[in-house]
Amino acid sequence: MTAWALWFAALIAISLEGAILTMFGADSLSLQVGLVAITYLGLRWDFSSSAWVVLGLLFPLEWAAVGVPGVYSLASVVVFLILRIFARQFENRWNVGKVLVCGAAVGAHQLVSLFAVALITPEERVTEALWATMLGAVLTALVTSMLLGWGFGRIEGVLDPRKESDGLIY
Amino acid sequence: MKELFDKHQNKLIVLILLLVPALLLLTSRSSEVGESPSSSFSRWGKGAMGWGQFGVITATSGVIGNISGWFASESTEELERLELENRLLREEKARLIGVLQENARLRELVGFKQGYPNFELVPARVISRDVTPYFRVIKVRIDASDARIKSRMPVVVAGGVVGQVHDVQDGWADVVVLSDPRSRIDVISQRNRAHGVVQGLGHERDYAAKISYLSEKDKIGEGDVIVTSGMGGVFPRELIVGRVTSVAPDERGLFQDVQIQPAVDLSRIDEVFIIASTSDDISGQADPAEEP
Repeated sequence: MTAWALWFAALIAISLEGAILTMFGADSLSLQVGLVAITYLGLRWDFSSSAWVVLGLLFPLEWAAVGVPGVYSLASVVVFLILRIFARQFENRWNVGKVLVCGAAVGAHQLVSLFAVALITPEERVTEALWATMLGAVLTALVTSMLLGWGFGRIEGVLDPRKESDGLIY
Repeated sequence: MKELFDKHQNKLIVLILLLVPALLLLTSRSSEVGESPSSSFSRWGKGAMGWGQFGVITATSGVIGNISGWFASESTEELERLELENRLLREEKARLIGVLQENARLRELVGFKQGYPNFELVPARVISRDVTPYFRVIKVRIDASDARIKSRMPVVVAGGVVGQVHDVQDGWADVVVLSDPRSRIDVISQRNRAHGVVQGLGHERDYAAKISYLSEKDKIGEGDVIVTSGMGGVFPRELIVGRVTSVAPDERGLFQDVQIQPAVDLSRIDEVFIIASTSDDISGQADPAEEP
């Protein structure tokens, strides 16, 4: 139940990101909402429910990215699986450590995308753009993840208060 | 069977997770603009997302106008009445400014439409953009239900070229903006007809693009106006693309390293036109969207 509430919240956030940015004319900014959601799910203690939510987000992420087909979702899955290795080393609730991991995850996502693009379609301009935007993407993700990670945590807390109170339910 | 599934559940999930992007990668034809049309499932999904984004744009344009109304204070009845009146007047003024701005934009677009009577122009409204920092794609809502929009059709505004259609869904289209690193537009310099190809740089903070394959023999200077060449069969001739902002010799010596700034402020476009056809197309030339 909470996992699918997270999926729905992430789906809404991903859908609205582009509309909100366009509305305010902030076209050069990308909030990295989708990758914050992937990081949040990657650092949750429950693997299977998180993985199903990630699976449910892969197509919307592709549709929102309008990139080279498959690259954004492939990089998202790789980042999610990498995060699973460290998930148990973090508290279950969202905190500063997880925010920093989120920044690193966004950087890793761009590196994986870069690698995939270089293999699939060696477009010099695309790889240059991926390099050039990496730092900005990481910094933006740090800010976005503070708010969105807390928001996702609150949704889980409201739907299942035990998880928020002891953080050891998984 | 169930035991087997439970035992290998995590492995199975990982496999499924990797299978989705793998399928997308394998089924896409190319990373070129307009070369990978969406499946019907993706068209449906993108359409659903588009409606959500369109709803936000429509709803918030009304809400923003009323935000000032939330900060009312109360002291006396007269003060309240005057504040209410003042608020109403301010809201009215904000609405009028919005209407005037929209009117000016529409006049400009109508003027553009009249200036190119040989183009079949389909109006579209910008409702969203992509969520990556490195690609430059806008999503537009096409109101004309009978419009036959196809991939690679040119997208313009009164000020010049915006980009070209990448993917079309029912009533929606993804438009790759000229500063997207995948975008390529055949251009010439308006001053001396020097030929090159404009490619987006995908910069985070601006919409700069680069002219590739511009021979070192061609004299190009800062401020030169760059227009579409009409070659390549996608864009009609003489549409303004941008102005040259910097010129430097290329490291390899064959070409020049020329950067341009788009003629259109791509961060502030609300309405665009898709050039669905020109009189040349109608008279029997190949449709750009149907080229291989």
